[in-house]
Formats: sequence, structure tokens, C-alpha cells
Amino acid sequence: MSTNDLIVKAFINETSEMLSELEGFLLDLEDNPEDKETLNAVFRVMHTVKGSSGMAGFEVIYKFAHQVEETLDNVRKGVVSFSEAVANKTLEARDIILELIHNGEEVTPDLQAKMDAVHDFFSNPGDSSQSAQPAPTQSENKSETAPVGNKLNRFEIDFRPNPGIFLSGSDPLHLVHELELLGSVVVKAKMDNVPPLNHLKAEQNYVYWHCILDTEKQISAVKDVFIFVESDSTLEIKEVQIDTAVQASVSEVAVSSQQEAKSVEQPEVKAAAPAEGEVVEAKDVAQAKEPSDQVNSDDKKKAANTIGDIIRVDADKLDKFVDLVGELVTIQAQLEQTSRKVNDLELENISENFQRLMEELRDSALGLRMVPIGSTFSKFRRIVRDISNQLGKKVSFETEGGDTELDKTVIDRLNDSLVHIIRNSLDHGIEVPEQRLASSKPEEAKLTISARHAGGDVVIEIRDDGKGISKKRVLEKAISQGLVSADEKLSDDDIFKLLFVNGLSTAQEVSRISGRGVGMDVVKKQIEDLSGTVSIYSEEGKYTKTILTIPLTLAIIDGLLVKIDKDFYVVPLSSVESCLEKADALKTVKTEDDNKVRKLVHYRGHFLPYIPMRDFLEYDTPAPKREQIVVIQMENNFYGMVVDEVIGDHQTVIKNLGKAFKNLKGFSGATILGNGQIALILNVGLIPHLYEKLSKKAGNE
Amino acid sequence: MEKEIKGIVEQYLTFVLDSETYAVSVHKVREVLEMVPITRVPKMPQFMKGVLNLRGNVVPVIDLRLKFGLEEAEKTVDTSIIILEVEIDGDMILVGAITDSVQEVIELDSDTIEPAPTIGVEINNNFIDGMCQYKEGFLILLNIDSVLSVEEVNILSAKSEMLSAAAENDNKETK
Repeated sequence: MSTNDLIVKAFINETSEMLSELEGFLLDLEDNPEDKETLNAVFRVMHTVKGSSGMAGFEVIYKFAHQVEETLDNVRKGVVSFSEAVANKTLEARDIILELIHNGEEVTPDLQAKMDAVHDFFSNPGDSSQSAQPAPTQSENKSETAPVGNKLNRFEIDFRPNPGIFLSGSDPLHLVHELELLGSVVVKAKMDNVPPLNHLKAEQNYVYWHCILDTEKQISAVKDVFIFVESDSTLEIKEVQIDTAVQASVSEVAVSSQQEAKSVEQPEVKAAAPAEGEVVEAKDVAQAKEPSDQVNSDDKKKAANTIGDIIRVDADKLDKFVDLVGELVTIQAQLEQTSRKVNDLELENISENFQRLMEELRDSALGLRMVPIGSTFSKFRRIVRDISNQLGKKVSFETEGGDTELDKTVIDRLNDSLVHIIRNSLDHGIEVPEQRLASSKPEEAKLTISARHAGGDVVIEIRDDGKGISKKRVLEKAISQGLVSADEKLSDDDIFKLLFVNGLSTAQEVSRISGRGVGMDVVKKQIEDLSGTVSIYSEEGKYTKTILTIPLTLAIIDGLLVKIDKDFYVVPLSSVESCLEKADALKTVKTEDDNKVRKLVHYRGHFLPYIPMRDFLEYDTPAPKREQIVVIQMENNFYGMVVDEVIGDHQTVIKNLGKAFKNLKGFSGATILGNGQIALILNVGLIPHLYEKLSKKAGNE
Repeated sequence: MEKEIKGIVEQYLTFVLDSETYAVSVHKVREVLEMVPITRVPKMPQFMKGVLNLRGNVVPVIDLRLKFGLEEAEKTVDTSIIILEVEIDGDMILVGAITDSVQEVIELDSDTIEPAPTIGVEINNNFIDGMCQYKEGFLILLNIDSVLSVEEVNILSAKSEMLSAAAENDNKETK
């Protein structure tokens, strides 16, 4: 990959990330328009996008972002007030930039139209505020009575980049040129630090600049030009009073020559410590501003430092690393097994130490892939905002537990399902304001998404206080579609489970957002692919909540090793409730229930259905005399799995079974045991369904 | 006098199934293993023998005899597993194929390869790239991608459709 490709790739990664941040900031700002901190953050992001797109050669984005930045800057200065329209357009602009990045700046007519719309808006943002702000003319600029926003300010800028500035990829000259965008500028390049040729190093910078800038902009705009090189350079920006009696050009020459003389006289003096005369010259306002600006840049530096602590790593590299740790776990299991066999105390000690370290290594390796789910949550704010606006509904969106960490791959694969559930809530669950008021609910509906840890799982709950689900309608629909017969009695849970059946939608009409009855079944499948479960609870007129339970990671799990015939299988330990001897479980009870034979064992005062795994896994060898039952818990349901023998805990490194088995159900992967043998991992969530189908087929034959 | 070479010479690995000799391009062959323990994967067609552990990778194994409709044979010291690189749905995966015995690597001139006859061959014609003379008999050049991809995927998805059709009835039954 060429350097240029690398730059472009880094740019795309970085900018995509910043744009999603920007979205969050903008939404924050909408809730709280007075928040200067956030406004600054928005501005900073746009500024950075502009800067880096220019550097990466994305010219279209550069120009586009420049304009947006301009408007944002005006907002920041209070010239234009932050309105919903500005927020909307900035969000649109953000989408456009994102699209441009990903399609390689290919401007389609459609995109061009969108850009033009945004462009028009930003060249004349907020008609109301603009009218109060007459376009400045030359004469006004010069007059002393001009309003503050239009007054021509003069800045003396002494910019002395570090000799090593080129190494950081910055081009100081480029920054000096950028000043030209702000207003009229006179630039003097100072060469007095340039050493004789035999001492000159070509990759170092010896030149520094002295500029005099006349601009309508405030000092902050000037500082922003140098925002990336602040830490690498000695930079001094002073505001000077313009003597209106003296002609601008004359004063420029005068000041610059005076400055020149000074720099020749005292080349040792650092420009950062201004000489006395200069301080007197500086305007009071500028002085008063100085301390607060100082704090600001300190904050920025702090922020930059925190960013510096994070290392971006290619996901592939991480996967490879986790894979290797997985291999090590396997080897360690072999070592443990061998050391037990050899019965050598010394070796056993080593093995135990190794095991302890290995567990720690495994946990931290897996921790590397853990990311907080909050970044996904913040994406939903935009969706909620857009859809609720579109539907004319008022919704406040709240998130809880955004710092809950989940495997990155799991989060990525969860996204679609969560979006679907949220859309459902907004479309079907939450009522329009009038309807809410009529049923004496607050006008603004509440949609909450929360995440929390529960054992080895993460539980994600999406809850709305909308109209809930009508069990009656679900049932009617299911009966009309022949999914259940009219005389069947279903529990609430069972009725809600019907919602996951393909083709069942209780929406009265199909909208563009949802209601086609496809969806919840897809959600269920997606979640099950992640070895998770999904369930819905609702009370009509009050609320609907959807609960997803997802395993923390897809890479390594704690498993329970069981044996059937000569083969080994792994049951995820997180779903194991207990183990018991089949003989202990009293007698096997067979009950007739809807013409279907159910096999039940007595377990803690309840009848527990069980699945003979020998049947399910199609073994035809005779079962041993003593069998064991593993009690599996799925949410609130339990069932038993009859196996030949329970072996014990096993650190299970999950290996994908691969494409050859992509249609195989009931297994979520394979793992390699200490002795090199392969054990399949059982997908305990699916097995009851598959088994019931199997026994039904057997019953029919 | 040396044999005149007209076409492109390629290397092939030959192996025996029943009484026939077959060959696959060496580009498809990753390595050859002796018979190793294979873990059964339930609910798969018979020719899918299961998975083996190839230095930490889980590799599916098929029995070529069963795949070609021959009787399953006793495993002997000659029984070998050829680890092949096969394309399934555009992805390269490793698959182990059980054969009676692996013979040798030979060079074949592409001009000596003839198209497979439409009759008189025991296995599905789609699996065969061509045939050529070899020692006293014939050599069947296998198209291993088609042996393992099309047919197999069809069988597997047919089986899974059965399962998913049944899964739709589940909601009726879970109560």
C-alpha cells in the first residue's frame, strides 16, 4: 500500500469516527443550545474535517466543510443564533460529507442537489438573524462606530515553528497562506535563523514569519488557523489598535519594519514573552481574553493527550492475537493434563502458574476487543430524532449503561436488530401527542435503551411508554393466519412469542418505517446467531419492552464438557443451572399432552422436560446405565439434557465450523480439547426447537 | 527421443478409490495426512465424516468413497486424508478427503487429457475435468471444487430447509 493510500485510509477512518461524534454533539446542542463547550466541539470537529480532507486531497469535502465551518464559527461568535434549522442543515452536511468520503468524492446529481441546498442555506443562514446583521461594507469597516462583529481587527502574528515541524507532516507555509482567507495580510518571512549552508539540514525549518492581518474575525479565528501546530511552535498573536488617522498601508509598513528591527536586535528573546512596549500596545480586551484562552488551549492539550493514549489497531491484528491466545489456552490445557499424568510436583507447580497467567492473559486479550456500547447508542439518537419528527411524535430518548462493554463484533452485529426494535417502538408503540394526552399520559413519550451485565451476558432492554401490544389482536391475527387454533389457551409469554413468527404484523397499515410483518423474526434469528435470546413484554396502554440477552464475547467462553458415547460436547456454562444424576431425578414421567409425549423428570418440586441427547445427536449405541442430566436455563425456562457423563469445566476457545457447515443448526462452533480431540459446542437455545421437530417427525412416521 | 510436449504441463497428485485411479491438481492440495481421529458431526449427510484437528484448525472431512456412491471401506495403513483447498461460495476453505491410498505426483501434458466420456463412468460427470491414459489403465482428473461445492451445498440446504420449516411450527408447539 502506498503512503498516499495509507493517508486516505487513515483519513476515512478518522473522519468517519469524527462525524459520528459530531452527530452526538449536534443532538446534544439541540437539547441545550447554550452549551458553549459543545458548540466549540462541533466547530472543532468541522475544522479538523476540513483540515484533514485538504491534506488527504479530498478537495470537494474541503470546500464544502469550509463553508459549514464558517457558519458554525459565526454561531460560535453569536453572530448567528443556533436554531433548529442550523442543526438540521449541519446534520445534513454531515451526512453529505460521510457519503462523499465513502464514494470517493463522486458527486452524483442527487448529491449535488443536496449540497447545493446546504450551500444555499449556509451562505445565508437563519434569515431572521441575518436581517439584524446588515452586510458590512467597506466604509463601515473603517468607521469606529461599526458594530463589534464587523469591526476590522488588526493582529500581529509572530509565528515561529519548531525546526522539526516538517516531521509532523505540517507545512507552515500552508498555514500562513490560510491567513489570507481571513482578510488582508502582509507577511514577512524572517531568515535570520537560517544557518550557513554547511550547517543547514534540509529537513528542518529555520524560517519564521511575521504577519499583520486585518480581518473582521476575532482572535479565536486566527488562533484556529494554528490549532494543529500550537504545541510545536512559538506563536504569538496580538491585537493592535488601528489608528484610523494613519493609512492602513503606511501603518503596516511601519509596524512591520519596527518589528523587524526588534527581531534583529534581540534574536534571543522568545516571542512568547512579549516585550514591554508590545503589552502597552495590546488592546485591553485582548489582554482580558488571554487567560481564558490559555485555559482553553490547556484543555485542548489535555484532550489531545487523552487521545494520544489510545492506539488504533487493525481489527485483523487483534483477531490474530486473540486467536493465538486461544491456541495458548489449548496448549495450556494439554500441559495441565500431561503434568497430572506424570505426577511430578515440580511440573505441576509450573503448570499451575502457567494456568493462572494464562487466565489473566486470556481475560486481557478478550478485554482488548471490548468496546462500550455507548457509541452505538448515540447513533440511535439521530434515528429517534429523525423518525419521530417524521411521524410527528414527541419522544425523549434516554440511554443507560452506555459504558457497558461488549465484544466489538457482537456490537456490530447487534446494530441492525436494535435499529429495527427502535423503529418498531417509534412507529407502533408510541402514540401521537394528541392520543397520549387523551389517555392522560405526558405529551412527550419516553424511549429508553439500557445495557447492563448479568453474569457472562449483557442484557439490553429497549422500553417505551407507548400503547403497548394488544394481546387480543395478536391472538386474533395468529388465529386468522392459522398459526394457532381458536380454542388454544396461550399464556402471555406464548402470545408475545407469536410476534417473532414470520408474517405476523398487527400494524393496521403498512408505513414506510415498518409494519410488513417481516422483521421481528429476522431480529430473533440475528440474536440467535449471536447465541443470544430475545423476548418481548408488554402491558396494553402502558409499555412495551424488548429484552435482548447477548453473550459477552464470541471468542472464548467458559464451558461445561460432557461426554456422549466417545464424543465430547461443550455446553456454555452460563446457561447451566445444575447437574444431576438421572437416577436421582425420581422416575421419568410421561404425560399425554395434546397427543404429544412429553418426557419429564422431577426436579426441585417441578416437572422438568428433558431431551435425551443420544436421540437428538443420532447415536445408535446403547446408553450407559448411569446417565446424567444437565439442567439448562433459558431466561425463565428450564430443560434437562441427558448426557452419558459430565466431565467438568472447560475453557472453550470457540472455532467457527466454517462454511461447510453453515446450514448446520444446533451447534455454535467447535473447540479443541487438551488431547487434540475436537468437541462441538451445543447451541442450547436452539436445541429444544430442533428436538421437538425431530420427535414430531418421528411421531408422524 | 524425448516425448514432444505440445500443451501446458501441470502436476497432479494421484490417489486410488476402489479400483480406479484419480488425480487432482497439486495446486489444490495443501498436504496429505495419515488417517487421524475424526470427530463426528451429527445431522450431516453420511459422506460428511466430521471434523479433524489440523494444528488447531477445525477442518471438515468427507469420505470420497461415500460421496461417489461406493461402499465405505475398512481403514488400512494406506488410508490417507488429502487436505484440499476448495472454493465454496467464493471463499477458500480447507477440506479433508478420505481416500484408499495416495500414489504419487505426476506431470501431465494438457494435450493428452481428453474430455470425459458421457457413459461408462461410475461417478457424476460434473465432477470430472477429463481423463487420460495412465500406466495400463485410465486416470480420472477430478474437479474438486464441483465435487465439494454445488452438490454438497444443495444437500445441506435441503436438509436445513426441512429443519427451518419445522422451526416455524415451533411456536405452535412451545406452550
